[in-house]
Amino acid sequence: MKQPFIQMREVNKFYPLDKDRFQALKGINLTIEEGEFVAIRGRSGAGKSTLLHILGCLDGFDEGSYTLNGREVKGLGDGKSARLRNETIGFVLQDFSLVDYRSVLFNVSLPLYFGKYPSRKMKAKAMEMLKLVGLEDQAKKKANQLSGGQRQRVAIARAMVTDPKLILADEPTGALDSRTAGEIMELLQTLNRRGVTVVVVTHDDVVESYARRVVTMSDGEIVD
Amino acid sequence: MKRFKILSVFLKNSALSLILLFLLMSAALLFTTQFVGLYRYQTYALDLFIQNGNDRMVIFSPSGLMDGDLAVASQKQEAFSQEVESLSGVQEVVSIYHINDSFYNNSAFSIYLYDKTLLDLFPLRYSGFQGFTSTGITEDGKLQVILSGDYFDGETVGEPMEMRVGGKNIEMLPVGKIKFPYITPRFSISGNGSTIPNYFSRNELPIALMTPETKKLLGENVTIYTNPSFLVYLEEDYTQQELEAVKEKLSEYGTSNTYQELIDKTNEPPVTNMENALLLPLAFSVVATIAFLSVSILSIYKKLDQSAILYLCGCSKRRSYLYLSGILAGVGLLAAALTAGYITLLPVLQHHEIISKNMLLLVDEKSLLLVGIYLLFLLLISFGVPWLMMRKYSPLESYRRMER
Repeated sequence: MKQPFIQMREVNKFYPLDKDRFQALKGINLTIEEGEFVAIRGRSGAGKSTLLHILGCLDGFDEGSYTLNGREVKGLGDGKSARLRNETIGFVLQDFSLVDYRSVLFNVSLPLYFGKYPSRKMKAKAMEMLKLVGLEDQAKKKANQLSGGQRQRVAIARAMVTDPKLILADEPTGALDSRTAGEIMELLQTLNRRGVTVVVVTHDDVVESYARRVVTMSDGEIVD
Repeated sequence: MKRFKILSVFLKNSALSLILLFLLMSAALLFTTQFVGLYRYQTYALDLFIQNGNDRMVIFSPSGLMDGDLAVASQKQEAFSQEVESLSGVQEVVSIYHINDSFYNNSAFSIYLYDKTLLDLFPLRYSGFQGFTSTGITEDGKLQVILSGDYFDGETVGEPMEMRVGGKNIEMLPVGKIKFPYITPRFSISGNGSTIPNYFSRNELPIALMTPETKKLLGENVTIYTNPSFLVYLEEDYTQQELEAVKEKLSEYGTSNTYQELIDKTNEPPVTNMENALLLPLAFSVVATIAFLSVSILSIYKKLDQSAILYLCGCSKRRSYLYLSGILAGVGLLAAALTAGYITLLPVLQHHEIISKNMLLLVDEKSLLLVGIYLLFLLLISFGVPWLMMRKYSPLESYRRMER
């Protein structure tokens, strides 16, 4: 039987709070198959972003287990965790997280600098991704010269440049108008149809509607 | 190539802060060099005396010139020192002599004449010293000299040179040079309250041996003056009574201090001149160090956002840390290179009076070691600040801060 792409079992996450500790995630059990498009919804403070950060190996957790693409994530060192992020995961975040004063092309190619991708092929690969998101003619512009929607497309291109199997998006349309938000979500849907697993954190019903499965969180727990 | 491109993420738009960091670090290093150099200059004479001196030494300082006429005063001085030398328990009286009527390249220079005992007792900072013959003169009749001072930079050890002494040209052979800052025994102090740096100070002139042969070579027309102070070197088995007798004799014309008494006087607080001279560079050094630390913290803090973006792209925390600390360390090494250039060029800058010769610095192996230790401390800041900042603000925390 094929192992799920993402499997979390009894994951707990604590944060220190004064002399005590606060439990941000409580007994999370989550299974996501490869190629799924999952939305994680919930009110502010439900633990959605915390869960996303753990999924993306940006943060650790205290108890439980988490396997990603058949690999146990807990206990991975800084270097291995970074390599896993680089090869397997792409991030699309609310604030775009681009290097504003560098070119669009440089921003898209950033993940390639940390992998084993040959230097001579990096530019071509980045341009291929920019074509995918329809911004190949903006390659030389600085990131801060683009509109919000364009910047989010650049972020998506960057997320895809290493051919990852998983895209994690944290409120990807939070800073965009509704029309642009729709374009971005359609782009994510296109990527999903190509076989990329997409997990979106949102509290927006419209965004949620693009997902095939919705996971609801409340007070650090998955309730639905 | 990839690494340099990633480094550019941190460097771009940071020109101002990098320049500021470079200036602050350079200032910190240069002021520390100043402080250490001054301190070494002030204590070099003390070190020289402590390392080479012993309790057989008594230094005499007359209360004034023994006569209004310099030549007569020298003769009286010489007579007095011979009286002291004849006392029981005295091995030798060591004096310094000088000639005034001497010119090098049409500029007036004194020539100092040292007893061999003085050079044996206090080995100086030589460069290429070949040693004197027993007479102080070469086989072909040239006066052997050690050259002290950058005026003589054009002369080469082992190559003959000429000076005009007492109206006639004297051929000389340099047998060595004194290294910057040209500190040699002087013994020209009179009066009470003397400390060791008064006896060893910066002298830029030729130094020859005082022997009957050199006196003869210099000629009868030349007046050889005796410097007012001298050193009484006691026999190895001198008694306390003999020492008391010597001191009593010396008190006829001035004051005397034994080896230990002179060290104690030199170390007595407040050594006002030294403290005043050292305070300013020390204060600037401390201020520059604190400013460098503050600007480092701010600069790294601003770069944590870029570090967070790279973290998302698959850059490990360790690699980010190496980039950040590498930037600071790189600035540090540039500042160190500037300081090294300054230290190397200091004699030249002082020679051309771009930097005042009154700035008395001694940058020797000891001071370089101290400056090197300070540089290591600054480099520790360069590696320590990014480490502490990244511990306090992980990439995820930086990202959450950016989100807010």
